[in-house]
Amino acid sequence: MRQDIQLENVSKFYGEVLGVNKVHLTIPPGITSLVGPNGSGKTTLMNLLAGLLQPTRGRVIVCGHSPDDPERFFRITGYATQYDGFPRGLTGWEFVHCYLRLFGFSPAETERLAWEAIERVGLKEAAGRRIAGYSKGMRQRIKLAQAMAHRPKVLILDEPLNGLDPLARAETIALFRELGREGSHVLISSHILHEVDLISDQVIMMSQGYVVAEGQIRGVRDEISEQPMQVLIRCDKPEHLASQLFHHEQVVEARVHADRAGLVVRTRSADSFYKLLNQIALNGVTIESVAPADDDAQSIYGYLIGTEESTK
Amino acid sequence: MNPAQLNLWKRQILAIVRIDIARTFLSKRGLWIYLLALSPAVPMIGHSLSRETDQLGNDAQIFAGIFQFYYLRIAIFFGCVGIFINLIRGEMLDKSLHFYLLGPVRREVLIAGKFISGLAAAITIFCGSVLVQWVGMFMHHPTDLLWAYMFNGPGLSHLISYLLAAALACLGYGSVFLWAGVRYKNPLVPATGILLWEAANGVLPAMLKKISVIYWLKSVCPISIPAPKDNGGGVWNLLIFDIDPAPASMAIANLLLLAAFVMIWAGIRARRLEIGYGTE
Amino acid sequence: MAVYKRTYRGYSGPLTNPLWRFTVLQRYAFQAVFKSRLLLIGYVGCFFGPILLLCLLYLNQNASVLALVGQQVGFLKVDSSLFLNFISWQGLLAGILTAFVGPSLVAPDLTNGALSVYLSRPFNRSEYILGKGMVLGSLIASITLLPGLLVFAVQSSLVGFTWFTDNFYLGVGTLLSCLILMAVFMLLGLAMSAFVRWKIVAGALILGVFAAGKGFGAVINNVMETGNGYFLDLQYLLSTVAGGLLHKTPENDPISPWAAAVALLVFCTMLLALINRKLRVCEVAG
Repeated sequence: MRQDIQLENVSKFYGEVLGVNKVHLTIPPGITSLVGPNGSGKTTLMNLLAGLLQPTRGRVIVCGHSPDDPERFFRITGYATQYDGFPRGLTGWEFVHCYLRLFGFSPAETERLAWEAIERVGLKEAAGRRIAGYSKGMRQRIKLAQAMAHRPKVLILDEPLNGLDPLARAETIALFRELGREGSHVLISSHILHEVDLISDQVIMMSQGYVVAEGQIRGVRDEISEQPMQVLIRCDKPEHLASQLFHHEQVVEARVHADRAGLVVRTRSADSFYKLLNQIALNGVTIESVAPADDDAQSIYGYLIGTEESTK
Repeated sequence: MNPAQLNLWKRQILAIVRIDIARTFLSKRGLWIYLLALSPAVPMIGHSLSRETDQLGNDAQIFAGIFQFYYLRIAIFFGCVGIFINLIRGEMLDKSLHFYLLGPVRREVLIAGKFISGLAAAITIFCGSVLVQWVGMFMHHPTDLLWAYMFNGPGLSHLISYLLAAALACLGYGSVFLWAGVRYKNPLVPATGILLWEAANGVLPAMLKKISVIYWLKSVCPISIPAPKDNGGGVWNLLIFDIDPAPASMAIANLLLLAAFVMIWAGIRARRLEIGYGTE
Repeated sequence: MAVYKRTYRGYSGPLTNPLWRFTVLQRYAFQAVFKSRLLLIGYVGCFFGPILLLCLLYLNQNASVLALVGQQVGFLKVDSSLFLNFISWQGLLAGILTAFVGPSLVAPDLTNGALSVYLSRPFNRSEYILGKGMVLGSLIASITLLPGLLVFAVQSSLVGFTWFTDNFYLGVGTLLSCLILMAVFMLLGLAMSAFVRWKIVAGALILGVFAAGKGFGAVINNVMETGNGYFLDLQYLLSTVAGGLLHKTPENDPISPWAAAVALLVFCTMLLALINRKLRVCEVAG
């Protein structure tokens, strides 16, 4: 049975309004981040993946199962939505426990799994309190516990880091990494781009209902050929290096770094530039390090979607 | 269909019933339904406390009138509006329906579980209230007279008929309002239509009369009540029109059929149910 | 040294007269109400009865048309019964309209926290109630009061000044009955909308107040062998007051028009207190 998530030409329209259009993706196991501005279709795509919405066209297959077969599909899938709604009057433990009963586990197993999930999100102490009294971060974490309590192979999380304090954020990211290492699919939508870099094995970037890029971040950067690449060179004589680089046509821009201990160079061809740099290094400039400066999600996002658009 | 599958469905339905009963019917939110159900009991107990002796037959007649004209048509009707529309639309309002839809539960099983939980609550509340009303209405009569009425007279069979009619009313109205809750974003529109249709039942042609819940419920009621003379109620007097009865067995069968049909329809419809929480 | 750009400038344009400021709410609320196509169709449908009646009144005095169908002038008796039935029927439609429009007036503001925003403006609780209430009030007036007075005016113009002077009490009775109806429904709609935040339940509650009140009143009358149950029957109370104003009171009426009027006054006071209590918690201290 296939272990990846497949979206085959999936489109969703709300009447005449476009949700997502012609999404064709294969997502391998690991941590995948879904990035895009408000209204780009991230939540629609997640709802389609989890069967809360039905595609107008195309189909969704998760590890060989379709959302039309809920009895099998939801045993391997967990989804923490961005809706901040909870059943009234329940405590954190009751919330996780009562929906786990739908899986048909024995009472002892249900209880064990509920406690396990609550412990994993660090809410054991607060589990007996009503959710209505929880902070935003605690509500996020109890939703996460509910989504992962049945140990799904595929965990879909819509803005899971929203409202978490720095410590809880770090713990949650560590949890995602652990789940990713265990071979699970963890699909996250996030608007904090530097965290996307830290967490993700791959990214899916969306804009106006279309997927504009997908894959590993570095791979995506390599594909954006029309944007010159930025390289940060740490060296002892940045001004001298800059003067030498300007003679070469691959170099579009060279700028001394703010700390004056390096040079930021924009080049059309990274490979040719690295060869050139080897020659220059022999001409009396001591180069400490050379590293790409714009193969992170933030830069790619800016190139593809435009920095003026706000992220969610 | 294997036994393990059936067993899973049974456990899932039980889980849904337990969640719904605890959350909705044992909460403050459901208080008005209890008040509505128990409202006729208050004047009945008052009646018993204020009278030494009375004609038992007269009390039975009053009970029958209240049961048919108030309890079935208004108390159970509006109670079922509250209970059954809340099953799906209430969850939408709380933005919590998706927790069910994200479980490994077939949508048909979910609808069955929801309906059973609503029905269990409605029958418990409204049949329980019938018992309280019965006691309230007749408790002031001498014990030996009551004993004779209940066990040597028609009392017990009448009580059973009233309980059956109340339970069937919950089933009939429950299934209609479950349909409204699944089908319409604003179920008040069909609920108002149904209220007017049920109210106008007495003046409809014979064929159309049968397309209503109240027609079949009337057939299960043990005492036939004549339509009272005009009391200045105007168009509201439609509520108290008398109707021709049908055999009780047919009434039961038809209401069960209605519930089964609605369940099948709602199950199919629920497969296409999507989550889109608006600002209801 | 910190530098602050002074870019903010307060509004210096013309202000709506405080006396009519409540109408601002009305303007926006109407747009929201008529977004629903179904409601619009229903509202238009409410004019079917008055139009039919106006046509009948015209035919009633048109000898040539009546001769064609073998009827005589005056086949329709235009008296207090006709006006009472007209008000009852239009009142029923107004009740249904209240159940559909009323819940969307206050409930969304309470649910979405908009009420505090309203009340933090130069806009007080009374103006808010008046503004929202007038949305419902004007809709009800348009299907009860205006058609009622139009019927009276048309009949007067068709029959003549003598009919007008002889039946002047019908015009006054219609006016007052419709105003009372309007006030009761307006307050009921607002109170239920403020009491229950879910629009659907609030709408059901409005219908329930009529139906359950009538039913429970009948239960009390039957069980306790009294007429006091009518005090819970809102439709009966309205009808009795209208009957009194139109000089059409049944002889053995268990409660008099005055008693019914007092009961309605108590009911309206309770509704007003409920609205006030629900809105007070949202008022921002000035």
